[in-house]
Amino acid sequence: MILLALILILLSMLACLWRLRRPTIAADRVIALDVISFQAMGALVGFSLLDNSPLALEAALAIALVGFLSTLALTRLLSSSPPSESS
Amino acid sequence: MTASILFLLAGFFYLVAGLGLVRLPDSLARLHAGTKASSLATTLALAAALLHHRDPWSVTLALASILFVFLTAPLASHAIGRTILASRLPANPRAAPNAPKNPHPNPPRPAA
Repeated sequence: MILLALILILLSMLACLWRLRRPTIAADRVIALDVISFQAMGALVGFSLLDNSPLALEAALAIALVGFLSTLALTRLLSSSPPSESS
Repeated sequence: MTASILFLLAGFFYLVAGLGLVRLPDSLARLHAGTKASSLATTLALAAALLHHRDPWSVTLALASILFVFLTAPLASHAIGRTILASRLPANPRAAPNAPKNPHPNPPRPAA
């Protein structure tokens, strides 16, 4: 059952990777990366359920921190560089 | 058993987030689908871990992670939404056909 949920997470991660490859605007990549970081947290929690070990939960908390900071940094980067420097 | 069911629900909501990211027509709709469904799914997965590991350290970690996700996911999605709005491109160009001409056009990426 946990393996089935992990396979679902893998499929949705592949969907996010597809959107990362084919965005319509640049912010789509930031959205896809944000969702992928949440999915990595879910996969780590699934590994901790499979192994009966709480070690992966600490990695999930670290992924949450890194995902939030990277999302904020990428949005700052996108909003500080306009698409064209004409005006 | 309860933890397994909660984790399966989490996987379902992750799948909803991924499908929304692929299928929805514009960036704001994708932001809506992706961030809300995936933060709900992360909370469900962490609740499953909280019910499965009963020791105090795991419960503390899971509760701290849930609190962190609920504090930071709205902030991150708000920042992304501000970026989309600041790019001055109507999120769905067909939705506003009479909008003024975009001074900073953000052309769609050519199909690779």
